[in-house]
Amino acid sequence: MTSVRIAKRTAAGFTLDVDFPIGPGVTALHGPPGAGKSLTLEAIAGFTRPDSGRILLEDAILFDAAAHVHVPPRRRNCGYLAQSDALFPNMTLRQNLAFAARRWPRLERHRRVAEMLERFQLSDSAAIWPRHLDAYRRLLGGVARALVAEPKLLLLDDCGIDEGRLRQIRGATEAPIVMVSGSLDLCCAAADQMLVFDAGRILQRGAPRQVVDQPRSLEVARLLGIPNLFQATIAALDPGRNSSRLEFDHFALTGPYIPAHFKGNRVWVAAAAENLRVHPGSVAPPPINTVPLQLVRISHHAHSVLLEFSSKVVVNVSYDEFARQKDNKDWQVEFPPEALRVL
Amino acid sequence: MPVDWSPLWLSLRVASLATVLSLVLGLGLAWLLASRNFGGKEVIQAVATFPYALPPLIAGTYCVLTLAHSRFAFTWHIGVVAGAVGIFPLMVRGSRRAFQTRNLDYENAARSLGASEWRVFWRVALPLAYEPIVAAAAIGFARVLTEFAAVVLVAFQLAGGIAPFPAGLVAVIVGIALASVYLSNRLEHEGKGRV
Repeated sequence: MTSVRIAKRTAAGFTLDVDFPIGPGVTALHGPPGAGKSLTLEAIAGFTRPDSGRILLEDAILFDAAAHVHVPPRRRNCGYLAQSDALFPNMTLRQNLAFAARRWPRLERHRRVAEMLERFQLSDSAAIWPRHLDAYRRLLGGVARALVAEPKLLLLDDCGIDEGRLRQIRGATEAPIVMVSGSLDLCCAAADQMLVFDAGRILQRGAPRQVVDQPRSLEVARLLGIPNLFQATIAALDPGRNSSRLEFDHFALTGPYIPAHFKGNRVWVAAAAENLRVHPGSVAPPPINTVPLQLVRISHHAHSVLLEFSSKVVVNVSYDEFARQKDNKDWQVEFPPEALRVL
Repeated sequence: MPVDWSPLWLSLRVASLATVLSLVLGLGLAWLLASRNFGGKEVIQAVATFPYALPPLIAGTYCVLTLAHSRFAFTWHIGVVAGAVGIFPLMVRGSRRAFQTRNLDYENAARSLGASEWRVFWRVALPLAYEPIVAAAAIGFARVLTEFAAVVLVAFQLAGGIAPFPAGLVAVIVGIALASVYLSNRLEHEGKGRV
């Protein structure tokens, strides 16, 4: 069992209080800067000492405040890759890896270093100083150096890793990975578990897709960057049809049934921009939950187009869809009931 | 008349040994001050800096009196001790500044790779901070060299050992001191450029 339950108050007054298990695969820590993600990694690695709690790695105690146990970083066997470039500048790439492989005899060390360099296609850069390597190779070098020590847990602190490199790392080690990432796309694509951090607390934990689709609170929805967040009044509740009627400031919609709420309650409703649809204003009969809105702004992104409507409604459509509808005189936005999440 | 170079060799020997002695002790204390938090840290730092506030004559006389009854009494060894004490604050301050401005990520990475604190110091922290440290050592060397050479030359003159005044010898000593100061400035400049 690998788990983290720690609390720490820093000199600057920041309080970290987190409790989570680390399963096999990738655990992603997502949240705004200063939320305590890096501090959590530093506590696991042993660079900072929590005030209370316990850290277990494969049932071995790394830290236990009650028992006054604080295993030093060098004995924890946690690979750590910092945010900044951490290849030692005074050593060549090969020397960097050899530094990590010191516990093996010379021939074995040489074999392991050569193998790791080969695995990350760095053999031709082995004799080069880090300052002469490009940022991408330095990152790969840092990963290779961390892996050559055969860590039991790999900690990646927002070091700019991408999905492909993460797959490569998972191919090279079976150790669980805890990764800090500001990229929600990377979390969804590569993580098995995602933890949403804010102000030193974990707001939500679960499979990344589940967290993104079902944010538990307004804070989580905001942190995940869901643009459509509206306050509504429950006008009707129908458990028989599993539906509700929600009245917003400028329109009303049919939503899913909301358990543990009453008619007249005020609730927050979230709708992901990619789950909404747009139609021309002339379409008849209009689909259910369709609201005529005025197009305010168009933003072209790499793979989609973001349409901003009146009442602060934002819809994400593909380039093909936008090409089909760009000449619309009037617009209608459809809010499919299954796209509405009551927080 | 042939020039007597013995004051130069003696001054170089004293300055080198004083610099090495001060560097070893200063590095240890600077590392402790820069990387650990403990009670009385500021007091230790003040005591370590105090020789800087003492006139060299007073510091030298104090060393002579302290070691007057030892087997080093009135030998060049006292010059080494006095020189080391005199430049100790330079070493501590220069090294401490170098260690304080270091990037902790490198050391943390080394620890996570299983390196002991000793190995972290020798293989990572010291090589990355060597420029300001060597710069401080070069300045310290120049200071001990010129001070001790001045003392030796005056003593020799008073004892009638060297006559007339050895201008060539003085020029060589000043040249070595200038080269040390130049090296110090160069290293400090390079260190800042790298940061």
